Amino acid sequence: MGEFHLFESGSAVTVIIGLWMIGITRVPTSLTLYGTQSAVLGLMAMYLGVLRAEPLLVIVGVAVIALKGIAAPAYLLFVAHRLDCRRDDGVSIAPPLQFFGALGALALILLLHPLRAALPESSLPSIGMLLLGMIVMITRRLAISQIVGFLVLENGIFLYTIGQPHTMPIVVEIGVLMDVLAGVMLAGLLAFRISREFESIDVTELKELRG
Amino acid sequence: MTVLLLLIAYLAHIAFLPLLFIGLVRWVKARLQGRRGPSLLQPFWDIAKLLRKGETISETATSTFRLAPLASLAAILAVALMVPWLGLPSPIAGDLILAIYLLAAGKFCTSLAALDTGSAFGAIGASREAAISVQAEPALLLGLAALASHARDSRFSALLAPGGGEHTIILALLVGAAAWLCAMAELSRMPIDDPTTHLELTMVHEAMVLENSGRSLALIEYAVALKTVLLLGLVSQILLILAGNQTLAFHYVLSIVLLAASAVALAIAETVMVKLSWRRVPNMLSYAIGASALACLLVAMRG
Amino acid sequence: MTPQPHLESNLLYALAICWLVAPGVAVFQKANVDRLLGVILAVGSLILLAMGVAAFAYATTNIALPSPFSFAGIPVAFRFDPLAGLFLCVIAVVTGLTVPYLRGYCSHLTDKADMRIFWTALSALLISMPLVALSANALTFLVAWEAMSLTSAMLIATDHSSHSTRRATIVYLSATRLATAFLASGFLWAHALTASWTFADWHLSGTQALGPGVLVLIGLAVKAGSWPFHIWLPIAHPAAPAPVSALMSGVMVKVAIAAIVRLFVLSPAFNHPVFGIVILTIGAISSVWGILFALIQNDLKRLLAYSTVENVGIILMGVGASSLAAHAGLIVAARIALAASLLHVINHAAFKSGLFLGAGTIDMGTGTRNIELLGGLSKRMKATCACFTLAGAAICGLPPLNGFASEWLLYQGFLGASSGAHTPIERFSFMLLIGILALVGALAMACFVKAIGVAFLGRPRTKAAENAHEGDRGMVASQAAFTVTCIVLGLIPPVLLAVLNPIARVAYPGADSVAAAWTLPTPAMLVTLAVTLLAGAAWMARTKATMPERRYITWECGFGALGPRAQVNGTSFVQPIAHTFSVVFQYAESVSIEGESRRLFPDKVTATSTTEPVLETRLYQPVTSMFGWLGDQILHLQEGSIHAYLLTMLITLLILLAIGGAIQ
Repeated sequence: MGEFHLFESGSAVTVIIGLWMIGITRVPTSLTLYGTQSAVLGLMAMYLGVLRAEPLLVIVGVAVIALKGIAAPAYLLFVAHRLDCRRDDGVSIAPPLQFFGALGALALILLLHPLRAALPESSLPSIGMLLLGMIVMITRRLAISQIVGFLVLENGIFLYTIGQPHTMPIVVEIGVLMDVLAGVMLAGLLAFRISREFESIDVTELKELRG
Repeated sequence: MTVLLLLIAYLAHIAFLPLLFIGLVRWVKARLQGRRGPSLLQPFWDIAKLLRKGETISETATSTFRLAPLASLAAILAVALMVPWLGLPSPIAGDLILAIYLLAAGKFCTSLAALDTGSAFGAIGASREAAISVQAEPALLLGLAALASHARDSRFSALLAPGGGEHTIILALLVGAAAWLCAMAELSRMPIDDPTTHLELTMVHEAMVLENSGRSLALIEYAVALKTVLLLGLVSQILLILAGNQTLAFHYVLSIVLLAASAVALAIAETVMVKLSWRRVPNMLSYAIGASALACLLVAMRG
Repeated sequence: MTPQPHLESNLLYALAICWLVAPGVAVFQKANVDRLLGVILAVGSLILLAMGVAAFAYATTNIALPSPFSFAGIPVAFRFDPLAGLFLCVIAVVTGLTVPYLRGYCSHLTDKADMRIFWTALSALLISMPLVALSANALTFLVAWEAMSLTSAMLIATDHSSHSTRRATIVYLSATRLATAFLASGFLWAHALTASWTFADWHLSGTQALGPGVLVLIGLAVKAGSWPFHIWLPIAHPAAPAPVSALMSGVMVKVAIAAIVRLFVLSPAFNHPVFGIVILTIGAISSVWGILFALIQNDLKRLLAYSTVENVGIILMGVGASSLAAHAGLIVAARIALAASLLHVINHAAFKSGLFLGAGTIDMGTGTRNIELLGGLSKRMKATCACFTLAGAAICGLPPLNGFASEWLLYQGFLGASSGAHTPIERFSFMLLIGILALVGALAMACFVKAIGVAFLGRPRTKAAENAHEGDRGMVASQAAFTVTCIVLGLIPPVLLAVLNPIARVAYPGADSVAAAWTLPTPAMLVTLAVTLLAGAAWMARTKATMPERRYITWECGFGALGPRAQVNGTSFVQPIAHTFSVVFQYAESVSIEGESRRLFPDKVTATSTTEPVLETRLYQPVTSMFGWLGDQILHLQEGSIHAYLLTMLITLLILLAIGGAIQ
């Protein structure tokens, strides 16, 4: 398959997985979906590296599959299991409405193509992913889901960088990866601390701390 | 002439395939559960037995109750001759909107029959069936409309033809997923309803036919089997868009193979999955609508 | 000089004489005056039908009435063209088929209302509706429009002893005042821009068309009953007597739609792409909103009124899509969408009138319109049940009846527009419309299964339902006539499309006929259905002798002796759907159980479900109460003090001088 077609199909699959995550209320399922999404991104990076004859991109792809596709979800699953949070019912709006709202926002971005001068068409899926990550963060109440939302956001940025015809320096790529991993570990530890301190990781309860 | 041959072929398959399909599903389920299970031909013997029995009809029921099983069977039969679910072209050149609305006409008749006996079970089943169709019908229609818009024609012969375009794979997969979810919903299969239990909590279709017995029950069971094969055949045809152009015979063989595979998949799903709580069924069906909407988005973006 | 204008003007005079004779006859309140009046109305409908056919058959003619009939030099002018002809035929057929119903129903009304006023208002309404469709200039239109509004208000108030009827009349009158105000200001503005009152001379486009166009559209949308101006429909239509509701729902809202088609699509008076988008949007929202609210109604006539809102939404979707497609250059799709809307106008007139007449028969036979107090009517009112069920199947759009034909054509219009459109967002919007139409169809089926199932099927829930009696022969004949019309119209769509072709061709000139768009295998499908049904029925009849059949109580999983109140009623039938769409009407359920032990020994279980008509309570009521508050404030100026009045006059004089000075 040509490079462009592969990139388009792959980004379509990752966006679909991201959209799927919006309607999921079970935490382990959304973590598995995130792992699948990162794995698909890693495979895309590897294939693009082979097509563009850039071995470093292939290595980054492998690293992404290993770290973001397997290690990070496994760690977060462990954290979720220890904190005993299986279900995240989200904030007030029913899951189908969240799903359709996200779908509508995504459709508007993809169809109207705002800021046409600044954004090439190939960057639209990554902007969509950014949007989906933010929607996950807005519509969820447990801290674990906020972490997952942030990770989806980061996947969107990764999608953008591998879509660029001229490569970003690989060092930057690997640096971002390391940062993300460190962030995930810290976030997990913090979630433990929050849970022990406040006996809940429900972020809507933060407003009880007022006054 | 070809139309006559196709008609005979379709009628022959309609006579045997649906009940064989149900028999296969039950056989695989039994083996998965560690039992020997009934023979593959058991549904045939069941229908034969029912046809020989007399009926017990409620005193509250009127002619609506007597006519409905035949009417819904006629509607489903007409659709079965319009949709190329066997992989061969259909004898009647069917249109996707006509097919879906004819199936709805069948549902109209069975819902009225369920309400006719004054039984609360039947009415609850009918109300749940209506609630499910409110989401499943638009999802199916929208998904097929995405294919139709891509093919610029709403007839099945055109929209199931493997077209060009780089995104046929994702399009076919999305519409196939939506069609599979809608098929599960319309046929009251897992995870929306368990066809083997008769608990009020889990019944949708079974509740509607609770008052039927004897010959009308035979007609209804057969109609449901035909609808199962029809909808799953449609899903197979959508997935076969991925296989590209082949000869008619090869296409036919692949369709039968996919039908058998869907029977096995159905059996596995019913053994492995847990039934969804009724309040969560709209959430699941919204995924079907979402998949169809995504398919439309893809077609809209790529023309 | 061709003979046609004479024919059509003669027919017009004949119609006027005929239907204005009726009030004269009605004054004599004798016993068989009803029969005579029925005959007069029937003759009038025949004349109207002839006028409609003449408008189709002959070329477009303009007729201006001679000098006594004119408004300060502007003559009362009529234009006989295919669009007017179509609506004249629809009005004629609906009126003609309703005539047998009137006799039986009016004997039921005589003790409650003054029949002289009823017949006068009815004839005046029946003459003003065709005149609105025929008007060639704005002044004629407004006069006929006002006549239509006021006479229909008088008809709604027929049974004015009831408080709800009085309230309904006031709401309806306010809605018509609003509509006329917007229309009049729009027409005045258009006249100022074009210096002519005749519609055919108005060719505004671009930003010039926006101002007057929006005002005219709002006025017409109020009368057509489209969201967000539809709230008068479910209040006014149930309050009117059944044949009047049939006429209003089947015909009067269509006259408003005729005006929308004439001014915004056919050689458009207001030509701007934004109108297509606006009509499309309000149509789409009306259809979904209307059917959702219809689902939760238990009053049969209110349910049918909300269903009218839904169908008007579908028609407006077609009109808007047609206008939008034409602006995008997709002429074929535009023509198909327009033909689909006009076909739906015809079909809706057929089935909605039949349904309203059925509701009236039920009201007369049982004394109630609330379906939760009915049940089991199919045994005592067999003919009404059959007609209502078939008309209900038609309105759900089930093949092979007529509702399916127009909905299929509308789908084809949307599909054609989405394949051909140039920008991604246009393509996606048309596909989204397909989804909305499918959703509306599924909801309509749920709604009518509920209405038919709860009212007609099962066991009677109250004594009133047990003692129901069928309507008299005339009432049944009317309903049967409408049902047969639905069946026949479902079998002949290509013929109807050929008839609608001239209108589509006026709007979008081109050679190919709309009838070519009908590619369904209807004969093959009908043959399959007929063969299966007949073969099956024959087999079942043959083997009936050998097969024992037992009648017993309803099995219900062995529960046995449950009374009729244990059946599902309207509220419980729609509970799953209402729960899914609870946002739209603020659906809430609550259950409270009282007793010694809530779980083991409950004494009383109360289950309540509440819905709120959000548009009324969140938008209209605050606005009307604000006017009330303003009125109260202004009341302070009228406290009876001479000085306050003189001060008011002085201030007004100063303001007028200032304005006059500014204009200078």
